[in-house]
Amino acid sequence: MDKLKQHLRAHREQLDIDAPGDAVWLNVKAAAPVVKKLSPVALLYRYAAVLLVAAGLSIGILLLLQNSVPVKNAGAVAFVMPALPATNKKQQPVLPSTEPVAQPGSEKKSLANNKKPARIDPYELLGSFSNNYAQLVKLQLKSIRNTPVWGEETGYFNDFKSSLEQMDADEAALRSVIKKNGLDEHLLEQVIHIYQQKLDLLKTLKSEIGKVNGSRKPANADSLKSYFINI
Amino acid sequence: MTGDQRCAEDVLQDAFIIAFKELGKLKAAENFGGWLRRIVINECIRYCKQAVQWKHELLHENTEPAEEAGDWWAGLDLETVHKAIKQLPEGCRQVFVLYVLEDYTHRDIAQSMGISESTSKSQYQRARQLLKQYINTLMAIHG
Repeated sequence: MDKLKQHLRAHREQLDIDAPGDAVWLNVKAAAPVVKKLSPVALLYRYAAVLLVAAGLSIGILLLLQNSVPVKNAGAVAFVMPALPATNKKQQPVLPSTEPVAQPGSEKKSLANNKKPARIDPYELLGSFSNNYAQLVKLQLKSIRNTPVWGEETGYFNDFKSSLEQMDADEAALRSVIKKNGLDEHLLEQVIHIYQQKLDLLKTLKSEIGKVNGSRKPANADSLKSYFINI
Repeated sequence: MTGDQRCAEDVLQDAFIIAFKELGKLKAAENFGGWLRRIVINECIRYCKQAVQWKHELLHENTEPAEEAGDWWAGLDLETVHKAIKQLPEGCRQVFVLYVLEDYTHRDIAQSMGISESTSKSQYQRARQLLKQYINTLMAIHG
């Protein structure tokens, strides 16, 4: 490298004398592509849509569980419907016989003849439903993590953190029980309850952050040290 | 590099708009400074390629470095040097800025400006000579 180059590179910053006028930045701002920020209403619609899907799925699982719960002693007893010609259906309403008729061997046949819709794996549905709820929780967490907090120390929100951790532990324990004993209505309700609790907690935390920030934000808030909750 | 405040502002504006549009292509946030700088320099080069009319005689100048008596630039006010660089004629000013301030090699300059490597070298030597002349003149005028 020649000496002139060395000398000028060493004092490069002192050669940065010219500065662009304000008009440049205004033009850049005007021409820059606008990043669409979701309005709170749009965000609410998004949450509502996910909740609807989650609610639909949970109802589906409940119905499926109700239908798939095996009837006690079903193997030994079967209710046989009298076969009637299709034309008589309107005049003579068909009622199942109240007397159970034991017909070993006929059970499989009658089940095979009944055209039932394709069975859906309840665990698969539970997984899908959990994913939707987890997505909601994630969205809330992300929103909280990106909200700057001032006016209160980090410790102020520790109770929320520990509650959420407790709920995570409860959920893990519940999943382990489901894995071991299988899924039933009661366990499903508990899973839903935990997710609802989580969402409620995060909602309360968000509102608490809003309150703290709103009530203690002085005029020169920009100069204050803010932090983000690591939850 | 453009030698003109207005043109420089136009180039800067275009470069920033490109940067905003291409922001999604930036892989690591910590590289933002270097990435933006690269866009600005590329825009400068693009502008200069259109603006500079390389004269035939300039393309075949002597590439041998001229004899220089000592470090004539030592102790010079950098504002004077800055003014002198801005006065350099088109072509050799761009080569000088890219080579000295942006640390481009003559090969890089040749590739990006669409000239030969020897032209880049000769333009650099010419820029040095002219710079010395301009600075002497400026010193003589302003003391």
